[in-house]
Amino acid sequence: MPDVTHILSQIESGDPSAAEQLLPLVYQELRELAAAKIAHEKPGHTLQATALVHEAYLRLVDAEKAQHWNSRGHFFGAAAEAMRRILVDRARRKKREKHGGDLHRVAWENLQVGVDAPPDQLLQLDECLTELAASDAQTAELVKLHCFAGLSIEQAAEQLSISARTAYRDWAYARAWLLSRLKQAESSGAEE
Amino acid sequence: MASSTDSVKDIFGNAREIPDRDQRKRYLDEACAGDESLRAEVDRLLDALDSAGDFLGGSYSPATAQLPISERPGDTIGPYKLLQQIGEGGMGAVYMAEQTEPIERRVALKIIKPGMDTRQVIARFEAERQALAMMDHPNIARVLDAGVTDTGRPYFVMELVKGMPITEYCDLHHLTPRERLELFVPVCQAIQHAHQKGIIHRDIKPSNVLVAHYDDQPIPKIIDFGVAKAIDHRLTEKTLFTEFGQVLGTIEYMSPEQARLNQWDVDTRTDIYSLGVLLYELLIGETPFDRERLRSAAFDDLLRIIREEEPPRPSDRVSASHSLPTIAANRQLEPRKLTELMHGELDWIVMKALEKDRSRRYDTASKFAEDAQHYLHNEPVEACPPSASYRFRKFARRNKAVLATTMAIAASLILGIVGTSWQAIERGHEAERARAAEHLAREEAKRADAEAKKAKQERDRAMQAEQIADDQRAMAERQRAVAETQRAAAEASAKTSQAAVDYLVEMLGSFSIAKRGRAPTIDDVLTDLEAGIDDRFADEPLTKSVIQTVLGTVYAHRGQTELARSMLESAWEIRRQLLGDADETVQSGILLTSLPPGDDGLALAEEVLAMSIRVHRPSHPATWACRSTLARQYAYSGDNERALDMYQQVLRDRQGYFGENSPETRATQKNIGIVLLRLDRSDDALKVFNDVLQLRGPGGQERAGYADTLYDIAKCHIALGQTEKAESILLEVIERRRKLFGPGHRHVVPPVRRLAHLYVENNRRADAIAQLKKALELTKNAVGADDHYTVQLMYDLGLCHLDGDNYEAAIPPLRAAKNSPQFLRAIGSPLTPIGSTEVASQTTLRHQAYEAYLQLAIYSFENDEWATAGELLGGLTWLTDEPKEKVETELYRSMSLWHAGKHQAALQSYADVTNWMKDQDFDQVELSQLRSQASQLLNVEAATEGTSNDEEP
Repeated sequence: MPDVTHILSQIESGDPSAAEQLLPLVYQELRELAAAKIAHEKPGHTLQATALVHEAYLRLVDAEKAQHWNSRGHFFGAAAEAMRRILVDRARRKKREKHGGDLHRVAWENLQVGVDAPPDQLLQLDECLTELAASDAQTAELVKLHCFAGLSIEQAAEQLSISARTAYRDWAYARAWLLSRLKQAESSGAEE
Repeated sequence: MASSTDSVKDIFGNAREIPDRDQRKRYLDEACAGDESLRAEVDRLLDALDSAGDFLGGSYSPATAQLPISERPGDTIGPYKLLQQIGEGGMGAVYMAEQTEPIERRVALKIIKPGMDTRQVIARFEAERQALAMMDHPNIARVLDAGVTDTGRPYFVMELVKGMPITEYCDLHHLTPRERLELFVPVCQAIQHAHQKGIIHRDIKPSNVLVAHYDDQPIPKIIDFGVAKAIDHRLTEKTLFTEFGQVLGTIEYMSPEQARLNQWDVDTRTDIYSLGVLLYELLIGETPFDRERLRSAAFDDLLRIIREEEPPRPSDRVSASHSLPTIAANRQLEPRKLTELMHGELDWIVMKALEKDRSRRYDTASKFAEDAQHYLHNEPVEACPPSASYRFRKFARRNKAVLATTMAIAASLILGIVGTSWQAIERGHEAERARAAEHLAREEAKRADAEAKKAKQERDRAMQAEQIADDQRAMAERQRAVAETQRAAAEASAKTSQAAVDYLVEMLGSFSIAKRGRAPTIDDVLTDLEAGIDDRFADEPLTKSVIQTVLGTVYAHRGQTELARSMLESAWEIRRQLLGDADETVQSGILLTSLPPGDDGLALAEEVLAMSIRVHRPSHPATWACRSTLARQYAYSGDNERALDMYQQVLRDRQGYFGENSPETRATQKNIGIVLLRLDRSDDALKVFNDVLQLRGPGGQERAGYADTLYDIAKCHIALGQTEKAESILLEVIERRRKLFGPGHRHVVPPVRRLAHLYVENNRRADAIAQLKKALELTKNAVGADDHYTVQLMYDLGLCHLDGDNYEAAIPPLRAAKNSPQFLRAIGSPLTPIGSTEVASQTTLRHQAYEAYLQLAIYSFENDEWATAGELLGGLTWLTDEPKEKVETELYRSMSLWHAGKHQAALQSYADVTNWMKDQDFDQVELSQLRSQASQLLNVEAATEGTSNDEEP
């Protein structure tokens, strides 16, 4: 198995093909981790996507070497994407299993990204996020890094090479934009 | 829409930073400049944000958001002007700064990263400020000031040290170990100085010990005093998740007492530990615990490693290192030289500082420094290698439970092997032999005395008398020769025992967590002991047989009969082949046949008896022991009449030899009582047991054997239907055993269960439940929730409730019982029915459990307690051999799991059972309805599910 630390250092030294190898590896590891955690899930103990990402990082990356370069960001970029896919896949599967029936919902104000998020709502959020990415890729990436990889807004800012101030502004914008979009879709859906 | 994104975003962003409503409205009017749709979009976003609540984790204080996040060179903080960043660490960034007033100088300014409660940081710093100011040592960088930046982050001002981490410095200059040690000594002295002022550093690591050149001399300087305490550098769950990278950077230097969540139990010896790690790394270039391994360990595991695992000695660590050539080259040494140099005193010095137990480390940093100097001056060092007995003590401290077993092992070695008993202990004949020897000696002495007297009387009389005396002298000579031979034999046997003892002590002493990554359990100890003997004693089979005998005895005591049998069988075989007919072989045979019945227990017992008759004689203590185990084998095989005959014969022999009242005779009498009980002759049994009780006499009441016999008497009363008598005696037995062994001891469990059964039979369920509950509580505390005695009590308690149709109360104990790894063993250990030779088969017992759990699960299922039902049904298929029941259970389980939302598990369970059904040859028609019900619920194709799964790669 190719070593993630090695791939990260390749990305660092400008090898564009290396980035493609990263995602499947991170995805694989995260999926296994998530499966293992979900299997041993204790009642009342919610599984945090961000904790998984951190654990994956520790398992995959030679932190000591990684400290010397800023490729940590590349890892979290890949992890955010991997985690997004895992959660979305899971939500789709759950939705299928339940036939769309007996699904619980939460108020949008209470929605958090995680394995226990209502599948339907998570999928809707993902759709809106894709839409946001079409018009404002950077803001969408910020949301992914924060919500799916657990980076703080400031860490995400660093990763996106934008100022923290901009990141906080973008974050507020993203929340407002996504929420208004979701509510809009909901009310138009209800009218049909 | 896309084209206007930027303007929407900007206007939205600006507007939400204007708190005043009117101002905001004015701004919006102006910015949108009549563009209705733009205005509507911005308004919608602002509304959305107002009602966003915790959406996606909530908003973040705009106050923080608007502030610049980091200071830059050129910024001014208080009286300090930042010049350039000179370092970046986990806690924040370090700048070189210029102080203009009151004096002009350059300082180091450390700005702590956001996320701390600034006020508390400053408050903690202020608390130590006085003490910090009193520190004045050439090897300590002075702490000058602390404060808060305009952005609300705490900062610390320190004497500027233009140096590099001590480890880097040493490697860069290729310092030899000796030179490194010389550089290390002042570091210790500086720490000692701080300790004397009441300051603990708490975060000693290479990056906090800088080496700078002053007057061309390398001078180590310790920085960051007071910082760790001020920022409360404690491990919490939060730091583990949010600052994992930084935690990893310092965890290698963290002392065991720091490696606990939310702990702040540190003292000056914490610094000694970190100094030890620093010296370790200085000397051999690596930290005690492998970074690679720490990184791959889960967090709690990682902390456990620091807390519990013995680090390797530096010499071992370096000789195993891949980087040895580089490490050695950096020290101007050959690799081999480096390893040799470490070995011995340097190892000891470092390891003394790294003791897990603080009280075993150097008391003070100056003692540590002194010992390093002793080494440099070639004087004897204070630290010394851990002795085998020390290692053993250490092992013992860590493993109290394991120690209990090792003590049992040692005791059985020293005292001679004691056979596991049926009811009373079938005394191994070491004791009998000792007793017999004493008896013979006394007889001999008497006889010799008499002879001597007679000789004296006759001496004067006749020549004949001389002749007799000569004969006697000759006889005495012969006797001495015999004694001599016996002594030689005893010595040889002692030598074998000594080899065995050496082996045990060595193995136990070398036990370490490193081997397994966790604390060893009793089973680990036994497994390792067992695994080691084949190699170790390949040429000493007799010693091997001693260890096997010990292990077999321990296994037998732990109820691991099959393991015991394999050990004892091997010992028996070895001795039979090498020693042939011999006392040792007989002893092995007695132990082996004392085990619960095996395949050929009866034949074996007869063989051992025959051997004992050849080796000793028909009437000899060992032979009686053989007869006794043979009698037991008869009883096991159901031939109680024959067992009774044989026991009665043994009793007569033992009474004649040991006397009416000896442990051996009492044991035999008790066994007779038990056989009588099994023959349904409870009246006779009662008489026998009462005799035994009488024999014990007034002094014997406080002994365990007294309570044992009382227990037997209670059983007789139960068999005779004398409930009240039985109850009061059982209560006394419970009371006595609690006093004798401790309230939660396993020995208390059987009479409690017996009493509970008695209560249930007499419709006194509440009393039964009360007894069981109390015992459960005590036993759980004493031996843990997973001990099979605890599990038995849980199981009984659950069944009691179930018997009373109290399902809700039955669920918790029965669920807990089933989740225990000891479940099968617990339900397979019933109380032997009194007055009957029938012992319920394991199949029956399991099926009883199956019925109970099924009943409970159906109740949960019907009450929509899906998760509980699913859990109760889990593993039930093991408890029944009936295919239909297996299938039914599993189908119900899959539906329960599905309803409980565990779809993955439900599908798995369904697929497993349908696959299994394919290979089964039984009428499945009855099950088809249930199956289709399940398949509909799970939405899987009932007919094809199994096969389609198989075909997929």
